[in-house]
Amino acid sequence: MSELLINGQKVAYKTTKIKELVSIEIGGKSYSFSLAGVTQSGLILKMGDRLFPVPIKTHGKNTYLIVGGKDVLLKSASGKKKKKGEGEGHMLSPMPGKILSVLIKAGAMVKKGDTLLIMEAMKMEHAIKASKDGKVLKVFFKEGDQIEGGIELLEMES
Amino acid sequence: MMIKKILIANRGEIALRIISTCREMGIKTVTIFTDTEKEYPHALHGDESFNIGSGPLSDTYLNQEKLVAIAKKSKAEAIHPGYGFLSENSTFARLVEKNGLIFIGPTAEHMELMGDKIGCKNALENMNIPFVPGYHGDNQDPSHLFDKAKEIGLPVVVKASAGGGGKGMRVVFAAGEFLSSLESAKREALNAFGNDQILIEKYILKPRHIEVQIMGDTHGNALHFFERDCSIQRRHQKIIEETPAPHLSDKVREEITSSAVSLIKQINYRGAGTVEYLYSPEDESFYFLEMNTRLQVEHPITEMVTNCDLVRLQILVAAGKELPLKQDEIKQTGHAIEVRLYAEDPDNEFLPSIGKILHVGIPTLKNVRLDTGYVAGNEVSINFDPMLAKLISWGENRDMARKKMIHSLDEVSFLGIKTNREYLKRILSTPEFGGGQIFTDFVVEYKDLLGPRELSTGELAITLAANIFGKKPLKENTQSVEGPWDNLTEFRNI
Repeated sequence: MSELLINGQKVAYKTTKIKELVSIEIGGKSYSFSLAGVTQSGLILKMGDRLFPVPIKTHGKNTYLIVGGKDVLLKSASGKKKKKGEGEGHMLSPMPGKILSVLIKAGAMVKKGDTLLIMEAMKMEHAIKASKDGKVLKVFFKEGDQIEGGIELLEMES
Repeated sequence: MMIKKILIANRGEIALRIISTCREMGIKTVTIFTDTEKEYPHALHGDESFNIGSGPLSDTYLNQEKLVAIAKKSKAEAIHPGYGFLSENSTFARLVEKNGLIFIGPTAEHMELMGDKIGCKNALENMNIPFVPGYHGDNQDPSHLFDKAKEIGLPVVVKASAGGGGKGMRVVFAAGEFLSSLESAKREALNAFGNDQILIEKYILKPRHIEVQIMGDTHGNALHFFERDCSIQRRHQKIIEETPAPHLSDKVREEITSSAVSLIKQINYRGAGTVEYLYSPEDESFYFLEMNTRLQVEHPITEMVTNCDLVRLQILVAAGKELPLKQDEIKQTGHAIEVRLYAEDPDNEFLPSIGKILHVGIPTLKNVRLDTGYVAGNEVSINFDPMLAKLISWGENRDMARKKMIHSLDEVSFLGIKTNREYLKRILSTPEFGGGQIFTDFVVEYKDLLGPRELSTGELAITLAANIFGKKPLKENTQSVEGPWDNLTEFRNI
């Protein structure tokens, strides 16, 4: 069995290649595809007589596809590294921007979902919410600060 | 006079949109770009382009002196401001004219009139333009406010003058509830804003946003190009627009367009503009919201149904020419829908997304137009608006335009960036949208219908198979990609 992350979910599957056909075993079912063509945007797969155009591009470890009209992001399951701080007592900025207001102080007890900070990015306001219940240990920024994406905004008791 | 060269004081899709009309008219174009935009289409597709450096917008796209200096250096006779940026800045319009150049837009005075909420209300009420009935006075005596509410007619909204975000706001449906609602609204207002001044307005159930495209010239002509319905909004920003407005009677269409034309005639308006109204479907009344003194983002749907080029008309008017058509020559034919593709995550509170665009899909159906300022390889950064593109579809009727749009959204992928593409499709696919039952709170009301869709097992299998097939040609075909796009070498070259 192999594993991949598809839209954030781990998916286990098995592949068999027989000549031009690729068979995918997944969820107790089996599907066989051939490659019918290559276009500017991606691939055209064929299952039996049915054609499936699939826009697909890879950038670094991410592969972006559109399947059945849905946006798909595919990553290798083993390659997923936790960003520093993620999932522990830390909260990261989702993107670069500016801190508009800081609604809590160090020492405050917060509940999951409480708004802690408000930041501005791309001319819109975004609320940064607590990812869990707990005590805020440190707030690293103040109103008006410009911040990078993916950096620690505050530390919470874990 | 004839304009031979135009400086486009903007970027992205609107810069390209203006270039295309200028080409048809035999007018040369000058564009501007910042250090990070050297490979963006708007930096490459004009006749001349100028680097305006880097730094905050006040040093680049909003640097008025710099833009005028570039216009003079390149010998452009006119400046087209596009939308956003300096398009409604009266100081800029004056500076442009002081330097002997033409500002493609209205006069500075018109911008100032429409930019000043209170002054505009006072001026327009004298011109018989309808405003939402209400009481904004200082007499806060509860019985006086009650009388005013009865005068306006229930239901009414009681809200804090200093308010916002729904705080200190109550909707009153029955007379018996008025005084208790007033009291609680005042209490909440005092707590939230430190001020319990209250205003009363007519409550409009499921309001719609309907606007009228207008155009005036310097010879006293004023035309309308019918209405657009822009009710589908997220966070108070339009995301789907269409024309004609669904379920709008011919009588009301006639009234609302006449109201807009009468307004611009009375103020001698010049150039393109949009008069925005709040429409109450319940009693078919409409009320003035504001007037935008520029070309709107959503102008293409009007162009699709009227077959008029609004940028061309703007340029003719700016050159002092008479509008080359009469009102009865402007007809609404078929139906057009526009969607705005944003770099954002609708399933995570519309958080803007950034990154490199790996591929831009092109629509293939007839009468489908894609206006975008991006090509594969461009970075979407936080420096500018997150709008990636506008996709516009035209059909003989609303349902044909809608189905065409749903199909085209699958073709127009911006791979590499999280976008609202699927979300737009979900909205267009609801029976409510299909039936034209739209209103400004649509996406909030139907939040549950618009959530993310799971991939089926079959779709997972296709994904996995595509991933395997996609890897194979990579090795056989890996040729180095050189030239201006060498930052594309990381792409899978298939």
